[in-house]
Amino acid sequence: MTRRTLEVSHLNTSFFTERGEVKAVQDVSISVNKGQVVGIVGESGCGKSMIARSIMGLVKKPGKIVSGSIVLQGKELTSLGEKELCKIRGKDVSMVFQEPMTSLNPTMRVGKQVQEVVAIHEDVSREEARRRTLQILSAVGIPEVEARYNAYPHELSGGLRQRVIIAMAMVMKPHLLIADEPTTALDATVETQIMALLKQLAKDGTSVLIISHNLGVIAQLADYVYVMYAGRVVEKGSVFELFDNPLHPYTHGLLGAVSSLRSQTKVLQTIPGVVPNLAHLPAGCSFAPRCSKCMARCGSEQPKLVAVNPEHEVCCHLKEGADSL
Amino acid sequence: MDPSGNFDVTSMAEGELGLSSPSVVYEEPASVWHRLARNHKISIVSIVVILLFVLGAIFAPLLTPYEYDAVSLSERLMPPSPTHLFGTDEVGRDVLTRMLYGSRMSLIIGIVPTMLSMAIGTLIGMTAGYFGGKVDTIIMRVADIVMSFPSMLLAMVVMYTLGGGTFNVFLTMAFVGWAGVARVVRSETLKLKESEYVEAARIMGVRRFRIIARHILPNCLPTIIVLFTLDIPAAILTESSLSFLGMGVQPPSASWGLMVNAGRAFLYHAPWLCFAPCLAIMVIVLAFNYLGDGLRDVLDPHLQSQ
Repeated sequence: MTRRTLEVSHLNTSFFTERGEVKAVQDVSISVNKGQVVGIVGESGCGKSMIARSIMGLVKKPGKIVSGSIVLQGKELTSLGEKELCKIRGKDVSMVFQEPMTSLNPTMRVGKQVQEVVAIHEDVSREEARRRTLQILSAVGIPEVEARYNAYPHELSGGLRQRVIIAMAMVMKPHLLIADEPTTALDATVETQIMALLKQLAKDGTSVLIISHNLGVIAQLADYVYVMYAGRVVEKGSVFELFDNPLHPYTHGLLGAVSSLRSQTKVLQTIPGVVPNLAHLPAGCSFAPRCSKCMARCGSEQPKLVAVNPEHEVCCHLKEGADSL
Repeated sequence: MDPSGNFDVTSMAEGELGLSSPSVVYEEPASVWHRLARNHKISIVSIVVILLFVLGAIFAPLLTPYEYDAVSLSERLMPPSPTHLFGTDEVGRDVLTRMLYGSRMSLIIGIVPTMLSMAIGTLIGMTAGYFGGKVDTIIMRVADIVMSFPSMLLAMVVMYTLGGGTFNVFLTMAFVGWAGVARVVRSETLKLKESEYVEAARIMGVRRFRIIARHILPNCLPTIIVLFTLDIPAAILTESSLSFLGMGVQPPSASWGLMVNAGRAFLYHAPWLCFAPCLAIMVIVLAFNYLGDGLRDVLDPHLQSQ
């Protein structure tokens, strides 16, 4: 497994609030290979972003990684202190997020912000740092880099700002880039451009972990997909397997809720009910109260991830039953 | 799109979607001065007034033929006249001359201790806000105590124990002033700490002190500048009060507060002795307050509603 960039195994991240333990991430295992684009999809509040924060070591109090391991390029991250994590963040693993409008410091020139990342991670001359900054800015498709280098964030459009943020994340050539809803705040044309850029980065060898609630984004970008529900991975598989042959009732529901130009139906399907309160999860399968195929044992017994084929695993009693029969 | 009908996003991103042409050009927002001139004409007037006072203080020896401590007993308590625009005091010193020299003291005491308390308050406030927890609790409780103690009384106690004099006035006022600054800066830091760009900096591996210095402090500056402008008149008033009570600047140095105190005895016979320095205090305090209000509206939209 030398080509493995990231290996998250049995990760549990919880928030210890006054109302009890809120299990944001439960027993999640994810692996990302070199140059692979891995997608995590799920509704709001299902723990997608908490996985990203756990990997970055930025879980805020009262949250905490309870157990599990996160191995990046053979290095265990959960046991590292703040100082060591600072050295890894931005250098070996980087993150791009949702809000390009507010993710840049309004008082700093954008070039300086990218350059700052180089300056803190590597002992290079100012000219060298500047050269690399200009190089990465043009690599992410920013026109007239010399002029843009001196621009303040408010002088750039949303798409350009997101490119600057990606440049910031990529300037140290990290092994892993986490993109948390990278296109949610952008309009459709800019979204297409940013997605093309992320695809290009993966082609050049960066592993990308993309988090989104948008199945379209995931389908276009990802090679492998994890579907999350209430803090757990409920189904995972290669992008073709998962979209062609969804097994978990939740995945079915998600795919049914996508609008398509070709579909004949007039009314979009929805999944009844809401995501359960993570502080008071039902005893068995978390999806049971909303599931149309719920059986007796679903209410009492947590199903396990089982492989239906080498490229596809699902966490549902329906499939466990199919195996044992 | 290529002829085969495949949707080639990569080439599109580069060319057809118009990336090669510059994106929407944003209009440069009007500078602070322009906005002040447009919406707060009175702050421009205030700036002129403050500049006049500053120039008067600097060039005092050139502006007046008299010495500030030149006693002339033949010219005691003379009313305002062309030779003595604001009259003379009980030992025949020219009031205008003494006011010009006194403005040095008032301006220096308005600005230096305020800068000192700004620096201390900013440092303490950012530490409390950024690190939170016990550090925050302890610092803010101390600040609460300093703020709830009557500041004039505290200043008097310090002046009594340390004695009068300019340097001790500096110390006292900085000691009283930092708490208010710390409070405002702390709340600003708390807000900025959660901002996405500070989060982004953290994600890029920027260390705490650099985050504070490069990402939080510059974004606190507008608030700090406004606070500074509004604290100067308060400091001038405090100095005047301390000097009036005889605990600030010591004679024969000139200070507006001292002059009001000296003139008090002659309120009926020579009212100009009191009124002239009072007028000066009022004008400079008003000017700083108007300027501060204007800057607040222009620099810090969050404070506008307060």
